[in-house]
Order: sequence, then C-alpha cells, then structure tokens
Amino acid sequence: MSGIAYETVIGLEVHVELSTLTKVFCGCPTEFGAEENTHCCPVCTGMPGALPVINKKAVEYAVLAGLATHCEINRYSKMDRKNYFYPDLPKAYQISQYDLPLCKSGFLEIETESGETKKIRLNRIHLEEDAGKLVHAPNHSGSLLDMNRCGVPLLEIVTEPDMRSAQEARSFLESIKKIMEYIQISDCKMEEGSMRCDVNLSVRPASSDALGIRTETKNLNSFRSITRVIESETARQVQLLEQGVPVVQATLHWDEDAGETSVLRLKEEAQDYRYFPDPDLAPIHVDDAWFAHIQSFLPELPEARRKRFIEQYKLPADAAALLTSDAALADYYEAAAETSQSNLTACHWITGELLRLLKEKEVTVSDSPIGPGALGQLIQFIDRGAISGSQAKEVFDIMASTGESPESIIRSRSLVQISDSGQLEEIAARVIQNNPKSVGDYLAGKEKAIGFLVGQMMKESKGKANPKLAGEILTRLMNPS
Amino acid sequence: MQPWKMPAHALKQLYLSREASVPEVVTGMFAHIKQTEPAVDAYLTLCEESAAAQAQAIQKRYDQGEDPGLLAGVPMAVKDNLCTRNIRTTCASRMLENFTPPYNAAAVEKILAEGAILLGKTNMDEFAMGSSTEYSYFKKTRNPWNPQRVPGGSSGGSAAAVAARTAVCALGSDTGGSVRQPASFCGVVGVKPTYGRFSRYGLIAYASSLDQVGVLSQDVEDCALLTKVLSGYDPRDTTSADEKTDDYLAGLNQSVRGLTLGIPKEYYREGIHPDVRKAVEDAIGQFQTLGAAVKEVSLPHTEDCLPVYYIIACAEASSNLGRYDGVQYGRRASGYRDLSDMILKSRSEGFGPEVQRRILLGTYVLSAGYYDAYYKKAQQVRTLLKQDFDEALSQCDCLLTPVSPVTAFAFGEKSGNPVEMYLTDIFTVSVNIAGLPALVVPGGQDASGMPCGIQLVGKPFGEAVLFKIAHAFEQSTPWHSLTPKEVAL
Amino acid sequence: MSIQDQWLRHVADLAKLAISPEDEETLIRDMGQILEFANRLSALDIPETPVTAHGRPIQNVLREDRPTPSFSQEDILANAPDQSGGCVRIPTVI
Repeated sequence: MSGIAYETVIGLEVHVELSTLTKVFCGCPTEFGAEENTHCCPVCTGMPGALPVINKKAVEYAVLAGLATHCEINRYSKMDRKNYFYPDLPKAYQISQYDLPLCKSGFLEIETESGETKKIRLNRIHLEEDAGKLVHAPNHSGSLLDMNRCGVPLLEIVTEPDMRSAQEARSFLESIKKIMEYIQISDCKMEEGSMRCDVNLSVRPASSDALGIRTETKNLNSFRSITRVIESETARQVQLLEQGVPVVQATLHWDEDAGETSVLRLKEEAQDYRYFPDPDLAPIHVDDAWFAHIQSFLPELPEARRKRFIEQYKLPADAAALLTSDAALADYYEAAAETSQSNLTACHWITGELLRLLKEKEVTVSDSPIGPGALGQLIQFIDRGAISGSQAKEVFDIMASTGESPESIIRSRSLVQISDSGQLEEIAARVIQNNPKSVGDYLAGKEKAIGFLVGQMMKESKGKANPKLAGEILTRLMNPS
Repeated sequence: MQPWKMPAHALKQLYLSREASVPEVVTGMFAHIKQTEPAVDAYLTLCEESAAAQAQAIQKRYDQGEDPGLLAGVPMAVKDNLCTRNIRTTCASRMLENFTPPYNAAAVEKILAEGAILLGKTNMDEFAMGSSTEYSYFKKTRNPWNPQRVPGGSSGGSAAAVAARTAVCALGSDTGGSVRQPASFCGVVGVKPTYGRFSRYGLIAYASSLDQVGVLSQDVEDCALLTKVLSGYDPRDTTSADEKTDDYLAGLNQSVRGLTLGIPKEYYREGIHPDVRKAVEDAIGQFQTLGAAVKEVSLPHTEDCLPVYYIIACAEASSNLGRYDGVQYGRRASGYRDLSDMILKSRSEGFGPEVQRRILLGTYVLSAGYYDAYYKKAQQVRTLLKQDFDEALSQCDCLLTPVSPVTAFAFGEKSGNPVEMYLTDIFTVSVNIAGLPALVVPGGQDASGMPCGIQLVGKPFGEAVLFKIAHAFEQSTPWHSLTPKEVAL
Repeated sequence: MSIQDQWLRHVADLAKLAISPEDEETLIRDMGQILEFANRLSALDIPETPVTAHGRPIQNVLREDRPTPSFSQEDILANAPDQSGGCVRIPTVI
C-alpha cells in the first residue's frame, strides 16, 4: 500500500417504472405477474404497421417527478428513437428522450454518515419505454422472450457524480424511492424490477479534484448488489491504481452469485445509437395551463412535511423524521392527531405501539388493523383520564385483534378508571395512614415521595385509580392549609 | 355487360337498381383476373374464397333493401404493405414471406366497413422502395399497356390492376410518388392526400414522416369517393389529422372558371421527355380553355428535394426496418452460429439489395459525426422547401406539374445507376417532403401510346379543390376513357 | 482496408447487414454517388433555420391512461419463427 487515501466518486442512473394503468404507447395493462405475452398488442410488440401514441399520464408523472426533485421542466420536449439491436427490444429502437428530456438540473438532499445534509445534483429525468424479459429456456434450449414489460413507462433519473460511498448511494436511492412513493408515481419495488440502477464509479486520490476513469455497472436490482458493486469496484480500481495500471473505461455486468463484475463492452465498442426525433410521435409542449394543472397534483414533500410536523405539532425532530419517512404513516399521524386532539400522545403511540404492531403483523400502515380514527379515540380516553396507561395498552391489543372500537372495549370490560374523588379520597386516606415514613419524607420536602404514594394508591385500587387525580388528592390531603 | 369493368360509383348504381348482383360481379372479376394475371402479375395473394363469402353477405343486405355502404360490393385490391387480418402481408419481401398480421390497417378497416370486397394483395417494390416494382422479391408486374414496360412503383401492382380492370379501384401508399408515378405510367387516377388525412395505422412503415396511404382508381369521381371513405381522425395514429373532412364529391361537375393554376418554373427543365412536356403544355391549354388562369410560380429549392428526400427517407427506413431481425416474426435464417449471427443472416437474406442499400445509407446519415451534416441539414432544408410551397400556393389554387420526366420505361432500363433512378422522382418527392395533397390524372400519351399523367398539387387539406379541378379536366379530355389493348379487356 | 471499406463495415455492423465481398465495391460506388449528390446541401449555410421533423406540425397528441384489450397470446406468437411455453424462443442470449 502506498498509503494514499482514495475517494470513490459515484453517479447513478436510476430506472423507475411508472405506475400508470396502461403502457406508455398503447392501452395494454402494466400489471406485474401476468401470464407470458398476454399483456401485448401490435404496438408494444413492434409489429409491422403499428404506431405509438403517448400516454398523457406518463408525461404528467415525469413532470411531477421533476417538480418533486427541484428540476427545471423543459416546456418543449420530444421523444427520440435510440436504435440498437437486442432481442428484448422488439422494434430495434427504444423510444426515449435525447436532447430535450422533460426534466433537467434538479437535486435531492440526503443525509451522510456523519449526519450532515448533502445535495446530490440530478442531471436529468426523462421518459422512456421498458424492454421485454428474457429468461433461459429449460435444458439449455435457448432463451425465451416475454413481451409483457415491453412499453411499460420508465423514468430514467441521471445524477451528477456527487456520491462518495455506498451509504450515500443507498441513501440517495431510498430518498428517490420515498419521493416516488410520496407523489404516487411508482411503487419502486426492486424485487419486481420496478426500480433498477446503473452505477457509474471512479476512484481518485482524496486530494485530487480531477475525475478518474469510470466504469458503468448495468442493471442492478437490489440495495445489496448496489452496495456490493460499489465496494468491489472501488477495491478493484484502487488496486489497479496502486499497481500503476490505468482503469479501462468499460460497461460492466455484475454477477451476484460470483460477487464480481465482468466486462460487457469497452469504450472503443461504444454504441452508436443514432438518436433522431421519432416521426411517429408529437413533440410535447407543457404550456402554463398544463404545467399548473400538473403542479396541483404535487403533494407536500417529505422534507417540507417533516419541518411542518416540528413546527405545527411541536414534535421532536427524530419523531417528525420517522413519521414523515412514509407518506401513508404521515397521513395516519395527521388523522390520529386530529381525532385525538393530542399531538404528542398520538406521536408517542404511533411511533411506539403502532409501529411495533405493524412490524409484528408484517403489514404496511395502510393495512393497519387499527385505523387512525380508532387510535385517536383511544388517545382521547387516555387524555381524559378515563383509563390508565396500562389499561390503554390492553385496549390497544384488543383493538388490534378484534377490530372493536375503544369505547365498546372499555364499556364491555368495565375498564373505566376511578376518577370519582370521594372514592379516591378514601383510598388516599388509607395510604397516608399506612405509610407514615413516606408522608414524613414528603412533608420534609422530598417531592419524589409522592410518586411512591401514588403507586400505593394504584396498588390499592388494582390499577384503576386515575393517577393524575390520585396525585392531586394526596397533595391536598397532606397539605391541609 | 361486364359490370366489373366499371368505376365504383357506376357499379354501385347497378347494384342499387338491381341490374347487377355482387356475387355475379365478383365471379366475373375473378374470371377476368385468371385470364389477365398471367400477362400482368399484379397480385401477390388472391382472396377468392373470402371475396365470394363477402359478396354473398353484401348482396343479402342489398336484397333486404339496405344500402350496405359507400363501397358495398366494389371489388378492390390492396397494396401488400397494408396489414390485413389473417391474410398474408409481405411488403413483397422475402423477410415477410410468411407474415400474417393479427389486425387490419385502418384504411382496410374503413373500406371493409363500407362494404368493399377484398380481391387480394398487390405487388410492389420491396418495402415500397423503388419506382418500377422491379424490386419485388416475388415477381415483376408488367404494365398492362405494354408488357415490356414497367408499371411504375412502388404501388405498381395496384396501378396495373386498376389499369387492367382486375380491380375496380385499389389502395396504395405514397412516400415519394409511389401512388402518383405508377398512376401516370398506367393511365389511371391516383391521389396522395395531405399528410395526416388518412390514418397510417397498419401501413407498414418505410419513412414515417413521408408515408401516406393513397388511392388508385379509374376516374376522379371514384378517387373522391374513396377519399371520403378513408379521411378522418384516427386516435391510433399520432400524425393523423383532426381536421374536418370535406364532401369531396360535392365539387365535381363545377366550373373551374376563375381558379388559378400555378406553374413552377423550375419544373420545366432539361431531361423532361418531349412527350411529357407536350402533355403538360396541352393540359395548361385545356385549363385555359376551361376558363382557369395560369400563373408562373417559383419553387427555388427544387434541386435540393432529392437529397433531402433520400436522406430523410433512408434515415427513417433504417430505423423502421430494424425490427426485422428474425426474433418475433419474419424470416429467421437457418444455420446460424449464435443469436447475433442469426440476426445478421436473417436480415442479409431477408432484404433485397435496394432495401439494404437504403438501410445502409440511412444508418450512415444518422451515425455519430454525420448527423448534423446530413440528417439535421436535410430537416432544415425541408423547412425551406415547405416555405417554398406555402409561398407558391399563396398565389394560386393549385400547382400543375409533370409527374415523372418520362413515361413507363422498359424493364432493367433504369436500375443501373441509383442516382439516375432517383432523379425520375424529382416532381413527386417534393410533395411528400412538404406534406401536401397531390392528384394525378391521365393527361395524354407518348408517341408509343403509353399513358402520361399530369400532377395537381394542392394546399394542405385542399383535396376537394383538386378533385374539382381534376374532374373538370378529365371530363373535357378523352384520356381517362382509354384502356390498354395489350390485355384482354 | 481503405477508409471507405472501413466506414461501410462500420455502418453494416450497426445495421446488422452482412456485405459480401463481391457486393462491397458496388455498394461503395453507389453510396458514394448518392452521398456526393447529397453533399449539395452542405453548400446551404442555414444555421438558424429550424428543423422539420414531422410530416405536419403537431404537438401534444396524447392518449388518456385508459386500458384497451390486449391481443391473445396466440395472436402475439402466431408469426414467431420458434416458440415455447408462451414465449418467443431464440438462441441463448449470453
């Protein structure tokens, strides 16, 4: 080792499948998992004579993605043909965007390992069509082509080389995923291939500002492979530089099983895609009215929502971040907070009990067995002092398993807390009598002793005493001024 | 009586008046086809059985007192680059020798919806690339006026069938003159409408920004009738025009007095055969007799049309024809080493030399480092050419021009030098570049008795004016009523 | 190999066409002629002229995101040179 510190420079090209109902140039469904070649027509299979027509929603989704990532929207955009032969591409050209992508020059903020906020610049976002799926035929008898994915709308999101570690790349991808889910244009399911990524990577001495020679590793479809590629490719390139061997610019393929990359093609074999405007498709002009219309669909984004949660609901920063990490969870919180009229208790219950429950049941917040309204009602009972904290947990668990309303659970199981002052005064008097030492401590100025006495009241009442009222009554009885 | 020889509008009257029945006409037509096809070879596929079934069905509707449609019972031919459901569609290419589309082209849907009888699919230059139909992989179609001569192309089969009356009328396609030049060579009427007037859905693409479906017919009235049937917006074709369609028949039999015809001075140039020049001059005289004014106009970029056309057409073709790789349909070569070799062999075997030449040229002009000099430049000059036409047409109602500098030539005569062959397209390609409507009507004969058409070029969506002017000319001249003697009519 | 041979091979490679040695010369000649003839456009100095990329001026021709029926698997595969298990079969993709 030379002792030089190296820096990894990473740029990503992320492909995100849009969740439109139909394909980008025909009315075939985009649904995942259908029988082979049944979501197809002459248009998406590139049959002679068939012609494409752009799905308006796909364009709007692309613009929305741009707006959500601080991009500039090209008001005049067009579709181009990218020509190359590959058997999963039925027309031998992919309809994509070349020099006038719908969105350009944006950025996203991510959190680095040291907890700082970092801007990752986006070069562009453009709209294009997906290709088909090739699988090996049984008994090595060739490959099989399923064209159901052909023509599913894709966004290609291209970053500048602004990331420096696998953690940052991961954080960027999570952030993209979160935003796409927030604006509801993609479900970003890596396991279904609806989010994939190419990694452009180079290394350089940490002291240098010049970019090293990069490689591009294609088509990675899990966070795990992306992390592994970044680690292995960094190590490989550093080793070459240490040996004084220059890195060769190339496109690589990642073999997940072997845990290594292999060369797909070298720079000299770079493809000549012969891009030209698709004469079958009209240019896209996003005029002011359409722009405003698309803008109206833009929901509050995670970052802004997090800030608002801190300000409006007075939540601690970490809780606000947790609640806004998922749009559905944030919606849940806002609904529960409204019903309960108690921002902090709602936050406490959702970040605690609810998330534990969801994790245990392995369901998403949208499928939560307890709705935000029901949880809000439960919190009302707690805040009113109608039930104790331990009772509330019991009620919560019953709600989760039966779906009953908190009110009916409390009523049917007579879980109502003792808030009757006459009854509580009797118990308090007994406790004061039986615990002279603690009373003495309290009267000597040891405020904490009241906690022990309240505990004794809870014990006497079998947990039914309203602790707040109990405390008040004890204080009053011991200070008969 | 041989009603199958009549134009569609006349045949339709016979059906309505019960003087002829559809099955009888279709049977008569197939008997005539069998007699005539050996000499002409206009068809690649005949659909005798399905035509007979269609004829029965249509006649039944006539018998029930219905009018089953504008083309009910009219026997028609369709160029073999228009997709026909369950009927082989080859583009006259070895590549698509066994291709059977699962859908109908929009134009085919429309004629069938109006009750036309589909006789069969006609021969053409492979993928519509050519001007003589000599580039068909399957066979040569002969000009019904003289079997030693070509019928023109690329819609040579459709034009020859109409001339030989082996179809009452026909669909073709026109990318650079492929309907109009064979119409002129075969002495029939042909129209290429405004780009976008007819849907291109199901027309197998050669050059998408230039391609239009066109019509070939015996007279102007049929042409107007078919234009009426085929016009209209199709949401499946982005480039289809959402413009109102005129009643193209309404202007027929009206005077052309007061209209002005523009004569582009750059079109009267060296290299035009004297017989062609005479036909155009006679037509000018005839229009003046009919009361129209004639005015000289200018299209300054005429010389640039051909390079612009070949660059744009070949570039688009190189991309459009990439899909023929032996994977999902079309020819798959045998004896390949691997996938890449399969694609290479399939394409090299499947495409003829002219198609390969154009693909190579188109690939070249789009490739890195050449795009700006060729493709982008051609698109810029295209803008200038459109402006030329806008300016010229602002001074007149339509342009009157030759169709081709020559009449039908002999087989093999022009296939030696590609540039020379391309030069014969100069008067037709400019119209596709500008996206304008143009109509060809028989306008004379050369010294050897071969027909010669004249071309009228109109304003965007100005087809109705073209029909009116062409009809007045047709009705006052003998040319459209002449038929070839060479075939058994 | 001359520059012309080289570019012809490069273009043929991009277009996936095999050119036989006997055709090479003719093709180079023919394409040379066509390109020479196309070179007249380079005499036009028109950097500001906008391009015309479509047959007629159009913009924003879009469809609603509404499903239309797909074709049957049988129709989609009917023209496939080789098929297996509802898919088009091709030689192994590496």
